[in-house]
Amino acid sequence: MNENQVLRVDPDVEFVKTVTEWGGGDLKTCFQCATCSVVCPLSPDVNPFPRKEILWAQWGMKDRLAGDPDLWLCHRCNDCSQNCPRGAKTGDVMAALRSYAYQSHARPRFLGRWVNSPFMLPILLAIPALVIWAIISQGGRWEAPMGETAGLHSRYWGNMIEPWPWLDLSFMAVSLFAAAALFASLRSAWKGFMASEVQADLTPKMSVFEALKRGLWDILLHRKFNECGAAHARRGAHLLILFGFGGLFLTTALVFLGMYLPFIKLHTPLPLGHPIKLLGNASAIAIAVGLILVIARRTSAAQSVAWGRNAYQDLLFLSVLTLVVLTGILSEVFRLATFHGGAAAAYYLHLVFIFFLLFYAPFSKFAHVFFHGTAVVWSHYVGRRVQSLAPGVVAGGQGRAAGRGVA
Amino acid sequence: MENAKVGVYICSGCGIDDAVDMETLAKMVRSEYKPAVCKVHPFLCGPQGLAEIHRDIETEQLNTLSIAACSPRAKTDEFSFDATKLACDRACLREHVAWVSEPRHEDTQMLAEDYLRMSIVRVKRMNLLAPYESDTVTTILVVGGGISGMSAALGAADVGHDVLLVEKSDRLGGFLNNLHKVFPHHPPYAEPETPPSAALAERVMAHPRIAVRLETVVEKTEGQPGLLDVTLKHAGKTSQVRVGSVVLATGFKPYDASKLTHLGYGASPNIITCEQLEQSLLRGEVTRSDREPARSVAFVLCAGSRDPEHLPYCSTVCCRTALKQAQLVRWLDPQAKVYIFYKDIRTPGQHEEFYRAVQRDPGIFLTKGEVTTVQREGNRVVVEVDGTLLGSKLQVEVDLLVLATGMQPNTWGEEGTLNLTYRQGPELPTVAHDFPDSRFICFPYETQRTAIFTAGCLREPMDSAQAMDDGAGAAMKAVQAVEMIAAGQALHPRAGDLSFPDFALQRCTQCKRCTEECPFGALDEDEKGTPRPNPNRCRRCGVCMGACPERIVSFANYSVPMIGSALKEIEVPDEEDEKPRVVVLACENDAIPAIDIAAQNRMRIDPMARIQWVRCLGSLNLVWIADCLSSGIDGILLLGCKFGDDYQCHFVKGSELADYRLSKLQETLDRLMLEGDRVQLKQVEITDYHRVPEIINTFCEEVREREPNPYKGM
Repeated sequence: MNENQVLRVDPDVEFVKTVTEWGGGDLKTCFQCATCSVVCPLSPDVNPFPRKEILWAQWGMKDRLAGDPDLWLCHRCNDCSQNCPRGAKTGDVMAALRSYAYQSHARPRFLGRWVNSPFMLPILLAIPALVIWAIISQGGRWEAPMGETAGLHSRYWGNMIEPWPWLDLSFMAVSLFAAAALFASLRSAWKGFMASEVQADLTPKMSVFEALKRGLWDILLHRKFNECGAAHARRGAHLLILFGFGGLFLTTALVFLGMYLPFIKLHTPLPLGHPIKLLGNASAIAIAVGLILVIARRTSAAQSVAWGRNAYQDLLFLSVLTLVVLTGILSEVFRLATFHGGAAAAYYLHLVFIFFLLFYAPFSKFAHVFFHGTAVVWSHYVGRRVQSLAPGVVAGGQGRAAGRGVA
Repeated sequence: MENAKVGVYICSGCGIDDAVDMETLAKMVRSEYKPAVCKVHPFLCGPQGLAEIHRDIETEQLNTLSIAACSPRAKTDEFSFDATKLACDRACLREHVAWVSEPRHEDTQMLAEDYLRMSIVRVKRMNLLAPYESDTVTTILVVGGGISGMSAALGAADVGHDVLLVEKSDRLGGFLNNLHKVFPHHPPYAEPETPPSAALAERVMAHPRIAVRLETVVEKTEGQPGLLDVTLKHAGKTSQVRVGSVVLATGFKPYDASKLTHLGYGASPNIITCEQLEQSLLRGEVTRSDREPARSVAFVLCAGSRDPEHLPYCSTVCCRTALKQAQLVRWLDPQAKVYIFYKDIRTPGQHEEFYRAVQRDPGIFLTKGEVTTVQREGNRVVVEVDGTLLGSKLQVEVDLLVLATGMQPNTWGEEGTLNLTYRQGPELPTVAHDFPDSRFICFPYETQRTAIFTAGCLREPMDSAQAMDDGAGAAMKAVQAVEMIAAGQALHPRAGDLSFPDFALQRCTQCKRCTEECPFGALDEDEKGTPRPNPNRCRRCGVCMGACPERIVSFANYSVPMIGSALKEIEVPDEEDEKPRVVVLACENDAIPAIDIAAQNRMRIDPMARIQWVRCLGSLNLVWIADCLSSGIDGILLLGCKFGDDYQCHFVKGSELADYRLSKLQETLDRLMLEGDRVQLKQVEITDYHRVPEIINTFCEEVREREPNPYKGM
């Protein structure tokens, strides 16, 4: 950051209020001691976070925050919250700022406002519910093949509801919309990252491909999470959800390809012993276990500081994801149990929540997956790393934090 | 004392007889001094030991006692005798001999013997005390009707003293009358409160013992505590009243903002002080000079405070005042933005809660930083702040810029406050930053004028709650002062002492040293320059006794000949014995307690040192040093309090005076071929107890390595 630069500020009070509403109420509590930056195990030594983010937020510097890659290098370990001498929940403020950041990049803006407002939830839910209802009502039939492989010889490939092409088309449209919006968001964020002042030297340190590769490994192995102190236990649950979700995504993609590629002619429902079915069911179990762990911890008072307060954004994302998994599992279970009505209802709801999850992804906490990923890749690309430790300093968790000073 | 009938009581308890042979000691006393009674007791301060002393006083008609036991600072209740009927001195065998020396060594025995000799000679030179009696009054004058003054008046009146409260303006309340609100002093410390001044003023006005004189000033104050004749002036007419002691509570004045041109004061009518903003808050509208509402307000904290160019100190309240005003501005206009630029936010105690409460307001923006430039842009003000943690300079454009200025003591201007007719000047001497404190670390409210106390922001910057406590505290000191003075007793640090300086004026040469050097301005002068003592102003430090070249000043129980003869009583072995002797003259306020603590820790002190207490090094008369040197003492060490700007002397400048006098003496010694550094002064604080033995021992070592005093044996 340029020492001689003069910054004319006219802080946005509304921004401060918004961040406060979104769970960052403690941003005003900070008295700038920098304990948070010192204890943070993930923060780089130069211009460390999260103190500077809290300061920017206090002064309503929303543009800086929107383009701040450090927001996304934070994994909400909450060591900061646990060590703040003023009792501020610094990690929660960072989370609220992230909510603000992804929303500020996402277009159209009104959808962002809707997704982040509890009052708009009925409308948000009504859209997929009506769209899917409409598609089904356009000549669809509430009949479904029941039992393990009952559908093998059935003409109803679309699992339980017809007409499938409309359904698949609508989901393709939703996915494309979400992908396009996310891509635009991330491009805008990347621009911000590359113009960021958190690091003076922003020249590439490696190829984009190399950075992508390293970033991917970081994420798949949850390497950063592993360094967390207070919320270290989140790593396992988060990994289960990540891999469970990935597995389900892969299952869906394979089935989709299998159905449409003429030389495979996959018929659904697949028998339970089918490799793709095995993958799907295993993934469902993984994500279910991960979600149960997260919900249990988020609702336990004893864990509240380490896990952070539950902001609306957190609850919405967690609930929708849970409902997707729950309805998915129920529809399979009801189908296997040949419970027609239940299976149809569960499947309908399953579709509604998947639609919700995908369609609102760029505006909801779902976006964190992509912003974190982008920031991790960026950090490799420009070399914004936590410096290696002096020999003898215990790596990982609080030991690591204790060994570092603040720049 | 004439017809002294001496009793010597030697205690052998607390390990004294492990170190000293008691019988030899008693034998020495009996053969050399032939006292009426000389007894050794194993537990002198116990009921049986004390009963024996009191019985002997009765049966043997003793009027002079030397008690050789523990430190004079220990067992003061047990060994207390009516000083008007009996002279008593204490030889310290426990702390200065037994606990610091090698047991049963020849040198230890000689040390104990010398201390007994010194004590017996001292007490024989003492006279019975007769307290200074004057027909004193106990009315307490309070000058200043702010909350400190009102609280002082109520404090004194509530314990039964008549109080005269004099206020210059036409109403009570003082500075708080200018305030819309004060920052909170009650849980949950979240919102400003109504100033406490109005309620306090009502109580004062209703109190039967408090006489309030508004629009009145003190034109003249004459006399001495207990008998202070005060001339009051009201509406051109004067009246006289006699009071016993005074509490000065004239408060503070805000630092002159016109000196703060670097913060733009004067460059725009929209750059104002906290006091000016408070006026707007009282009116209920915060506007720019063009009457447009002020939608953005910036505060600069430490405006001219903690700044060597202006006030180098912190005034403690400006941070909280700014926080309070920030909150009030936001209450008046919820859309307003408030910026606070600070060096450090200082919100002591529970006021941290207030800071938190203000900080939570989304419209209040705080940052550490240094305001570098302030520029007027039409009706607005642009403030540039450097050194923020935001990483770059910060600029904000505001409607109003408020400078939180500090406090200066509201001391006497042209007209004066007390207009004392004291020889040393009409008002209280001031120390650092113009505060009229005496800076007695242990004695708040004290000034350098006896029985005139300061309270509130005149004494040091403080908030309104503290100021009320301060007034009450000062009132207690004022009450104590009138009561002790009525009994002829000294105020602290020699609280209760009935002695006072006696001037043998027929021998006075009018050199004026005493009248100039008295730290409390106790001595006035007649036209010729002869001192006119005012015993009630005196604190019994003996600085006058040390100053007088004619040695005409003495106390009944402390005099130049008394200490001089005690020092001459030290037995100085011949040169061949190779037992040099060192005299340590130690201040009883810090050095003696430090030695006592060292002794409690059983640290070793060189047995060649003979410790003699003095009331203050300022009472050191140079003749003592001449006495010592002429009787063959090889070195003299003076232990006094720290002096300089940060002095710790209980009598303001006693040790500094001693140092000055010593520098003159050293020249003379050098001329007499006696090395000047045979006499040295060292500054010690009570907390230096772990260092004191080393200081004494090092000095003794130096003396040992030197040629013996050539006057030895002459």
